Amino acid sequence: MLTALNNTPMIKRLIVKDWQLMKKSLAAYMLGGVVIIGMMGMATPLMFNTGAIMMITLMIVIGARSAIELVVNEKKDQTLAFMMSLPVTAQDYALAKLGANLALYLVPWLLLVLGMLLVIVSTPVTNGVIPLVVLVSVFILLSYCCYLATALLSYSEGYTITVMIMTNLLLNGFIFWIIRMPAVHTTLEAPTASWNSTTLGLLLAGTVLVVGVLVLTAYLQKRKTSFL
Amino acid sequence: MSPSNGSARLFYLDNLRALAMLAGLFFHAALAYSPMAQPFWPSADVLNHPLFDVFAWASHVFRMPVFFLLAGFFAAMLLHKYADGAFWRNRLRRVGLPLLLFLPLLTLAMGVVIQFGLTHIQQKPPLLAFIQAMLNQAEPPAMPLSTMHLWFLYHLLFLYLLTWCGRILLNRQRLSWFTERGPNQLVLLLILACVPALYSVSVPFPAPEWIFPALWALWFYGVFYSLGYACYSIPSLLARFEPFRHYYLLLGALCYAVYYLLLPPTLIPQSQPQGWLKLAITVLESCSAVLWTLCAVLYARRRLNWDSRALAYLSKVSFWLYIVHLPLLFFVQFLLIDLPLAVWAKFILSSGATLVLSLLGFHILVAPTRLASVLGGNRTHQA
Amino acid sequence: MQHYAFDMRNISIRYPHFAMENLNLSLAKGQVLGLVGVNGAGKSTTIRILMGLVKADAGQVDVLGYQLPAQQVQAKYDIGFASDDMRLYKNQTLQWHMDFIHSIFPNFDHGYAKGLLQRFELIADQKIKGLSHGQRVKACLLLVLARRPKLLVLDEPTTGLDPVARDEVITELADILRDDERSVLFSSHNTHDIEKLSDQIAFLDKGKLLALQDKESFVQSWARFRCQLLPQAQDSVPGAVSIRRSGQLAEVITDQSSNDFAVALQQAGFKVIEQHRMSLEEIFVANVKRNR
Repeated sequence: MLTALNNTPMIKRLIVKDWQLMKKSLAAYMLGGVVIIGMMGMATPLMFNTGAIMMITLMIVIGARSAIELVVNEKKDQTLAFMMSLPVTAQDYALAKLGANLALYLVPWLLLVLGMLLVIVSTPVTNGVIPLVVLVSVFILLSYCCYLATALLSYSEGYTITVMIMTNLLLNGFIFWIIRMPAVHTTLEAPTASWNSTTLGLLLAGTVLVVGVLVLTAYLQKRKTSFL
Repeated sequence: MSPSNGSARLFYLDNLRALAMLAGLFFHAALAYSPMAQPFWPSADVLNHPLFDVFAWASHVFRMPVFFLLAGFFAAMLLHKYADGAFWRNRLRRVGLPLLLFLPLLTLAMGVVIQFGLTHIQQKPPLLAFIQAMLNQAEPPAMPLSTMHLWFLYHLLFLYLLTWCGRILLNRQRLSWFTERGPNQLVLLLILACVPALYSVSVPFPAPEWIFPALWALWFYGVFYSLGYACYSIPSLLARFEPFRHYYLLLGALCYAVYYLLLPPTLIPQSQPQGWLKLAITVLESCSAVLWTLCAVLYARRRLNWDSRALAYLSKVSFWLYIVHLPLLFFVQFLLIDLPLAVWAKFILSSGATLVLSLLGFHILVAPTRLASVLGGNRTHQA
Repeated sequence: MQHYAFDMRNISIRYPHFAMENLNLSLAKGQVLGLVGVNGAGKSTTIRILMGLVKADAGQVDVLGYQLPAQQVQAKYDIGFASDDMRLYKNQTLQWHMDFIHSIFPNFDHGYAKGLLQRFELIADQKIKGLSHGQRVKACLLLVLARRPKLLVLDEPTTGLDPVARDEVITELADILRDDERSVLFSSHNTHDIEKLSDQIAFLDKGKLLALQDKESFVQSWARFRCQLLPQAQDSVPGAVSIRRSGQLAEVITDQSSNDFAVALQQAGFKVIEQHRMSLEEIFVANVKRNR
C-alpha cells in the first residue's frame, strides 16, 4: 500500500478520469438530487416521504451504476488493459477505483443524511427518529461498500448484481428488525434523539464494518498476483 | 452561439445592479408601512399607507428577477472566460464564502434585534406579538432554520450547479429553436414558463427563505437566470426586444394595476385567492415580472450605460449593503415605532439611517480589510 | 550500461491448464523481437509478466533496468504497450484519449501524433465507438507511439484485422520502426507479420522457448530437400529434423543447412533432387512438431 501512496498523482488522475467518464450521469444525478432535495424541503408528509424514497432510489441507482460502469464494465469493455499499460500498479488502480466510487457515492449519501436530519430537526417530526434514520443510512452505505468490494475483487457482473440484490433485500429486513427493537422502538416518539448502548453499539458495528470491508478490499487487491 | 468580442465596459449592468440593490433597501423599508404586509413583517409600524403597497409590490415583481438575470449574464461571461474549475473557485469565493460567513452572523444579529424589539417596543407589530406568545409557552418551539435574505446567494449556488448540469446534458442544437423565435414569442414563452412556478406559491410570491432550496424559486428565477445567460451568449438578443420596450413597459403597468387590484387586502394565509382568481393573478404577476424585468435591462442599456462616480461607488458597496441592511433596518424601525412621527418621515428616516449605517460599516469593517476583495464589486467588462 | 531492453531469467508460472518452466528471454536494445506461437503458447502470459501485470511464481524480470513487478510504475513510463484485447473508452473521442495520455506522459509528442493521425487516416474528434476494428488498433498504436517509449510491446496487434487493414498496420509499423531506434517486442501467431518486422525471432510453444535466433540465421539454417531414396538409404540422417518418406521419394528438413549436410544426405543414401529455402511459417511448424 505504501508504494501505491507514492503514486498519488496518478491515482488522482485516474479518479478525475473516472469522473470525466461519468460526467453525463453525474450531471443527471445532480439534477435529480436538487429536485429531490427541493421536494423534501416542501415539508409536507407526502412530498417528504416521496422525496426520501426517490433519494434512496437515486442512491441505489448511483451505487449500482458506478460499480457496474466504472469497475465491471472496465473489464468487460476491455479498457482495463489500456489502463494497466499506464504507470500504475494494480493497487494504485484499485485505490483509484475505490476513491472515485466512494466520492461519487458519499456526496449524495451525505446530502441525503444531512437533508433528512435537517428536516427532522426543523419540523414537528420528533427528533427521536434520528438514531433510526442514521442507522438505516449507515446500513445503506455498508451495502454499497459490499457490492463495490465485490465488483472490485471479482470484476463479475453476476456476482456484483447478486450482492446488490441480497443487500437490498436485507435492507428491508434490517429496517423491520431495528424498528421492533425495544431500544429503538420506545424512543421513536421522544422529543430528543436518545442514543443508548444498543443503538450506539449498532452504529459502531456499522462503521467498523464499512471501514473493515474497504480495508479488506484493499488488502485482497494487494495480494492478487494476476491482474488481467 | 458565440458572444461578441471587444472589451467594452458594460456600465449599465453594474449601474442597474446598484440601483436594484438600493431599491431593495427601500422595498424592505416600505414593507413596515404597508397595510398588506402588516400581519407578517417583523417591523410593521402602527402607521401605514396603501401607496407603500403600490410601490413596494411593483418593485417586488421585477427586482429579484433582474438580479437573477444579471447573475445568469455574469455566469455565462465567467464560463466564457474561465474553465469550469476557475468558475467554481470564483463563485464559491464571491457567493459561497459570503453566505457561509454572514449567515451565522446575521442569524445572531437578527436574534439580538428581535430581542431588542420584544423588550423595548410598546406598540408591538403582530409578528413580534406572535413571537412573544410563542416564547411565553412552557416549551417554546424551535425557530425554523432560515437563510433569511441571503436566500438569493443560496439559490444562486444551486443555479450554478444546474448550469453545470445543463451545459453537459442539453443539446445546443435543440436550444437554437428558442433563439430562432421572434422577440414577442419569446416574451410569451417566458411568461408561460413563470406561471406554474408562481401558481404553486402564495401571492405576491414569497421569499424562499427556508434552509431547503425551493423548487418554485429555482424554476421561476431560473427562467430569468437563463434569459440572462442567453443575453450574454447571443449578443443580439437584447437588441431584438429593444423596439418593443415602451409597449412592454405599458403592458407591464397595465398588468400590474389589475394584479394589484385583485390582491387581497391583507396577506394572511386565509385570505389567499383560490382557483381561477389565483390563476388570473398569477398570470398577471408573471406578465409584469417578465415585461418589467426586460424593461429594466432595456432602459438601463440605453440610459445607464455611462461611467458615473456615484453609481460606481454604489456598485462597490452594494453587496455589503445587501448583506447587512436588514437587521439594521429592523433596528432603526423598532426605534421609530413608538415615536410620534408621520409615516413618510419614518420611511425616509429609517431608509436613510440604514443606508448611512451600512456605508459607515463598509468603510470601517470592509474597505480596509481582506473582505473588500470578496465583497467589493468589480466593474464589468465585456469579454 | 544496460545492454538489454529486457531480460527475463528462469521464469516459471503455473496455471491449471498451462505451465511455463524456466523461460529465459532477452532483447538487446534497439532490436525488434518477434514472438511467434500458436494460440495458448504463452505469448500473452510472457508479455503480461514482462509488463508486471502478472507475477511469475519464480524468476527475475528486468525491463530497462527496472525490476518487475516491483518497479513497474517507473518502468511503464518508458514502455508502450498495446494488445489485440485492448480497447479504448467507446464514448470518448480519440482527442480525449490523446489529452489523457498527454496528462500522464509529458513528453507526448503532439506533432508526431498529428502526423500519425494523417498516416493512419484517423479523425481526432471521432468517438471510439464509431471506429472500425482496424481504426481502433491504429488509434491504440498512435497513443502508444506518440509517447515515444523506449520499449514497445505489441501483443498480437494485427489479430482480427482484415487483410487490407493488417497490411496497412504492418506497413506503417515497419516504416515507423525503421525510423526509430526503439526496442520492440512483437507477438503474433502470424509469421508473415513477424517476418516483415523483426530482427530476431523467438518460437514459443506450450510455455517453452523453442528457438531464438536472428531472422537471417533462421532462413539460412533451415532447408527442405526432396530426395530419391537409394537402395542403401538409412533410417536417419545426422542434422535432419524430420524425414517424410513416400515410396521412392523423401522430404528431409534440416536446421543445419550447408554443403556438409548435402554430402551427409548423399552418404546416407538420399539423392538430392531439389533443395528449397523454407518460409518462416514452415520453419515454425517444423520446430513445433520436433518438440512435441
